[in-house]
Amino acid sequence: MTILGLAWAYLKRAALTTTLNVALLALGTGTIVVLILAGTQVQDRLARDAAGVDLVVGAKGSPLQLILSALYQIDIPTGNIPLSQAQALASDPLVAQAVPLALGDSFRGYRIVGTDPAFVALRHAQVATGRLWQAPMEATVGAQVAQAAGLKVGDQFNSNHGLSAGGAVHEGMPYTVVGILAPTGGVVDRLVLTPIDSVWAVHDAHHHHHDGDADEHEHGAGGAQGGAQPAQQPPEREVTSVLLRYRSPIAAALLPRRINTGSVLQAASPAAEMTRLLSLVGIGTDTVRGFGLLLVASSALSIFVALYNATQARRYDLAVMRALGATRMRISCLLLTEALAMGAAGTALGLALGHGAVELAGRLVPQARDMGITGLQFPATEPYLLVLAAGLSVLAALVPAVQAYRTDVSAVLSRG
Amino acid sequence: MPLIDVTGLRHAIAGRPVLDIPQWSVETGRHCLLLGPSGSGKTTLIHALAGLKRPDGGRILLDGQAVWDLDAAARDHLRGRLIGIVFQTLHLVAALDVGQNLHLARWLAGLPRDAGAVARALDRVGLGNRLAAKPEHLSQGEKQRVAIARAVVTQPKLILADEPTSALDDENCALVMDLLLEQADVCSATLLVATHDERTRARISDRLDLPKLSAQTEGRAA
Repeated sequence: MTILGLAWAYLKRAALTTTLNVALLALGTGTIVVLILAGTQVQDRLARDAAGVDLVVGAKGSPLQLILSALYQIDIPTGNIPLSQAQALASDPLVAQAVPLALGDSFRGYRIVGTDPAFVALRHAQVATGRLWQAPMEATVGAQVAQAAGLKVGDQFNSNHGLSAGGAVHEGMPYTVVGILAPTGGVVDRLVLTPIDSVWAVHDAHHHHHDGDADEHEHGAGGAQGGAQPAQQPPEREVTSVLLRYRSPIAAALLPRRINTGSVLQAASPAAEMTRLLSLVGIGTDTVRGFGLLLVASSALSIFVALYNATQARRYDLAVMRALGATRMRISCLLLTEALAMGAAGTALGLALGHGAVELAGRLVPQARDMGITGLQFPATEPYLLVLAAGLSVLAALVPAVQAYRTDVSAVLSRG
Repeated sequence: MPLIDVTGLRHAIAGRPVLDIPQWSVETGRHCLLLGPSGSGKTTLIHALAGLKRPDGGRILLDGQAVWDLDAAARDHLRGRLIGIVFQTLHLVAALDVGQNLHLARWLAGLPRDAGAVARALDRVGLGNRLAAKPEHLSQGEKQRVAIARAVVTQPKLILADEPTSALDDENCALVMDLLLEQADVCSATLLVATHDERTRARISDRLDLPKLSAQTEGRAA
C-alpha cells in the first residue's frame, strides 16, 4: 500500500469521472500544443522565406498582397511595373541588391518565376542535379515541382497561362528542365525558375494569339496591361516585383517613403506586413488558444467537482483512515495525489495527442507537408503547460484537501 | 502500569454533560465492557480514548502517554500504533479489496508491508480465501469479520469495539464476541466493548457503567 496505490484505487473506482477529467485536460492541452507547434513552425517558415529581403517593390495596391504574392507566392500580384523603373531601383546607391521577379504563368499549379540566378542565392537554395538556367526557355525547378511532376533534367513541359492550374496552355513554347534544386523547406521548392526573357517570350507569342485577355488580374508580366497601356507597340518590358536588400540602415528610412510617394510603384516591408498579417491571423489563433485554455480550465473545474463530490461521498472512508492512524496531512496528500495523477495523465495524453496530430497533419495534409510541419519538435514553452496543469490540479484539489484536513472525524464516525 | 488510566474526565455536548468519570483504569490484558443506555456517552468516551474527540476536561493516559497532550500528528501515530477500532457500521474502504483494507491499516499505522500478517489475520477469522474480494461482494457477517481482522492486523494493545453486536441476532452476537475475544487474546490486547447489549454481559466480567447524565440527551455523538 502506497499513497499512489491508494489514489489509483480510488481513481479506478470512479473510472468514468476519471476518464472524463483526463480526456478534457488532454483535449485542452492538445489544442494548445497544436497551436504552439503549428504557430511557431509557420512563423519560422514565414521568417525564413522573408530572410534577406528588406523591401518588396511592385505595382500599387495592397501592400500585404504585394508581400504575399512576391515573397510567399500565395496571393495574386498587384500588377506589373515597368522594367525601366525596376532597373532604376537596382542602380540606386541605397540598394545593395535588387532581384526582379516576373510572374504570370504556371505549370500544374506551380508558379513559373522569371528572375535572376541571384534569386537562388537569396533563398539559400542549391542545385541538386543539373545546373541553373542560362538561356531563355531553360528552367530550373524546385524539388517539390520535380517530384510532383516527375521532371528530370532534359524533360520538356508547356506552361499554362495564369497562376492557377487549368489556364490555357501555351503551345509551341516548351520549357526545358536544365536543373533541379535541393529541397529547402521554403517557397522555392514549389517554383519553376527561368530567365525573365522566357516569360516575355511566351507572352509575346501568347498575345499574338489572344487579344483582349479577360484574365487580366492574373495575367502576368509578359504583355501590355490592357486598360493601362492600350495599343502600345512594341510593349514596354515589365516585371511584377523587385526584391530589395538595403545597402545601409539609412535606406530603411528613405527608400520606402520615396518609392511610395511616386505615382507608379509601391514599396512594402516584409517585416511590417507580416507583423500586420500575424496580428490579423492572431485574432483567430488567440480564439483557438482561448478555447484550449477554456478546455483546460473546465477540466480543472471538473477535477475540482469530482474531488469535492468524492470527499463528500468518501468522508466515511477518510474518517476511517484517520481512525486507522492516518494524519490529516496524509489524507490531504491523498486528494492532492489523485488530482495530480489526473493532471499528469491528462497533460501527458494532451502532449502526445498534440504532437501526434501535428505530425500526422505534416505527413497527410499537402500544404502542411510543403511547409515541412513536424510534430517531432518540442518548443521551449511546453514545460510551462506541465506547470500549468500541475498548478491547476493542485488548485482543484485545494478546497477538498482543506475540507478533508478540517473534518471532525469523531462527528463523521458517530453519524455513520 | 494500567493500559488505560482516566482521571477527572468530563465532557458536555451543547451544554448538557454526557461524561463524568472521576477515576477509571484498565490493566493491560484485561477486557472491559462499557455499559450504558444510548446517550450515556459511550461513543464519546471511545473517541476520547482514541484521540479522535478532545474532551472538555480531565486526563487520559494510554500506555503511559497523555493522549491529549500530544500534537495532532503524534496522536494520530499513537492511535495507529496502539489501537484497533471495530466500528458498529464496519466502514470497510469500498475502493480496496479485503487484503488491501488490511494492508491499508498496517500502512497507516506505520508498519512495514507484511503479506503474511495480512493472510494470517484473515485466516484467523475464516476468510483466508477472500483476500481479493471487494467489500461489496461480502455478506454482512463476512464484513464484520474483515473489520475485526483489520482491527487486529496491526497488533494493537487496545481493541475498541463500538456497539459491535447491537445489530446482530443472538447467534451472530455470540460469534462476534467469540471472535473479538479470540483475536484480542492472539495479540494479547485489551478489549474494550462499548455496548448497551445485555447479551454481552456474560462474556466479560469487568465493566464500567455509564449513567445517563441528562434526561433529554439523545445526542448523536453520545
